[in-house]
Amino acid sequence: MIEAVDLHKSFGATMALDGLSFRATDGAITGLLGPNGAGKTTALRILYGLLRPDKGSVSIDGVAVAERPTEARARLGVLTDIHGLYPRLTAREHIRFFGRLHGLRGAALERRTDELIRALDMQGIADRRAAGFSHGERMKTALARALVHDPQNLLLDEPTNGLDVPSVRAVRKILRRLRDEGRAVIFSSHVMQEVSALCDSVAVVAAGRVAAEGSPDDIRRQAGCESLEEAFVSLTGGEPAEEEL
Amino acid sequence: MSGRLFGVIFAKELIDHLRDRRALFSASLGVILGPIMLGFVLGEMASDRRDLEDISIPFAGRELAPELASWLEQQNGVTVAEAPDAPAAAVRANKRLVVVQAEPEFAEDFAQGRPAGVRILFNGNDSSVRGKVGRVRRLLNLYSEQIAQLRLMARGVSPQAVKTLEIEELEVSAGDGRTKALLGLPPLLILLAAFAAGMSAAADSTAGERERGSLEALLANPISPLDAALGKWSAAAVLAMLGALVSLGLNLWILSHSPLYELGVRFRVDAAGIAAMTAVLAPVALFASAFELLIALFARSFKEAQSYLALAVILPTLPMALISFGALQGEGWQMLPVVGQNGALTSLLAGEAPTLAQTLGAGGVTLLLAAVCVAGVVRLLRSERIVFGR
Repeated sequence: MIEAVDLHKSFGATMALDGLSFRATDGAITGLLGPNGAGKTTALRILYGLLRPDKGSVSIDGVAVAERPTEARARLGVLTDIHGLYPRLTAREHIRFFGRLHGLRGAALERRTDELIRALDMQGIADRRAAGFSHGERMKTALARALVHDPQNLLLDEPTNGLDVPSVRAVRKILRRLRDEGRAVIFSSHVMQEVSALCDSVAVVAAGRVAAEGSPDDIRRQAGCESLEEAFVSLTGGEPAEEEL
Repeated sequence: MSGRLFGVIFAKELIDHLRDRRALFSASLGVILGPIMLGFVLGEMASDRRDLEDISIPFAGRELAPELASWLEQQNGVTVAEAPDAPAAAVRANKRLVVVQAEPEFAEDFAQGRPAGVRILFNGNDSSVRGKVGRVRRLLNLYSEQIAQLRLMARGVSPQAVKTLEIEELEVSAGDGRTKALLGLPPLLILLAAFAAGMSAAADSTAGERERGSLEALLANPISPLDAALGKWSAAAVLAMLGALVSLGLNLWILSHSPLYELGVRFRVDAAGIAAMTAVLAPVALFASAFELLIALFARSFKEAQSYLALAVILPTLPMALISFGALQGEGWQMLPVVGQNGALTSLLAGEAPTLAQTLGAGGVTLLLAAVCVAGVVRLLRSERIVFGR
């Protein structure tokens, strides 16, 4: 379970987060929905402890990120917005490297690596170097290494951005399975359809705070709108905010 | 668990670097080019010297001065060659550097005991000709002197009467000054190799990671900035040390295969000397890689890092230049990194013991500066501006 309370963060004169609070419970996919620049990526970076909030706190399964960052990160799987692969390592080596960083070794690590390669249908690219990977292949590799330590909590920053339809469906299937296993999944997106198709709970983020929170139906009701899209536009004020960091 | 996972990062970084062919190629060039140039310079110097000693003298009008010609042939390293038909033209056209020519009246003048004319024709456009002309003139003077002595003795006069000076040339630089000057080049090449070999690795594992966005993904794992810094540092330091050792090996091979004795240079290295040089180089490899990581971490891209580093490596070599210009004097400066190791390696190559300031002093200061650089890297890896600023 992930809990963010009253997060504030500014970069110089730009206020990125202005009292953002939300909770991602176990066994649910929680969507962070908001236009570009609303503060989603900043919020996620605070969740995995690489940005320090000016005010407010985050806990992962009750572990305070500010006080015990490595312990908190051990409970997290993170897919960053830019996947950041190493061009000279193979997909398998990426998974292995992250596994070792989480303390996995030997036969257990090999077993887990093979399992992920099969689950994400990566047999064809497992032993190829990442330099020539397509967008979808890069995304799968980054997702596999985020899952290698079987984390209780998963943070995904715009995971389906730029993926083709079969890949998007594959990712959705994986995330639903993780939810059914009782994990907390946070999924950020600026795409309405993605969020309404997948998320059990949605936090609409606008101008650095949560404008509405609840199931997609709750949010429609709160905004008094027929569709989630209309609710989104009305809650976020229509115009996209300034570009974030 | 801080610092415990650096081994995992070290292993990954090392594999990553060893697969980077372009970086390995440029690092190899930085390591190999210096010793190749050294071998070339040493070979040139030795062959220049040999050219000066072993001389072939084209002799025009040889039939006019058969005694002179045969006397020349008996001298050490001298052969008398066939002269071209038009000696002056041949020399002007650079076909011959020096030609000795006997005047047409030579035989008659010589027989009569009058000064017999001999010309040395040479082309002053070639810088190496001066030494040859001097050698030819010395030979002719010696012959002239010996004939004069014989003539005086024939007249019953002691040759001592006309000999006013006893001149002896004694080369004293050969032992020490020349050794230091020539053996001063390899240490510099070896030290620069340590900086060159780790450079691409340092740039790739810092600025390259920032550029690709992989630094954020790496640090989102349960590792501390110290783990990341130690892992990257150790991998770059291994490459820097490898570069220094390869350069050391190449330099030793070239020195032991070049005709140093012909140049009057003393060079003596045994296994203990090589072990001592390795120990002197280890702190340099640790410092060079830490320094390069720190500088490169300020760059947003690999290319930017390379241009920063190309300038930054001048910094550690700056005190060396100041010392050689005499701006910094005193043994205390020998404790500076690069300066001290340069002095220690120079002494070790000549088979001498380096000073304490050059070994323990410089080693300690170098390690301390390496630690300061690593602390700087850890600090930067905690900085939001570095991790996310692309």
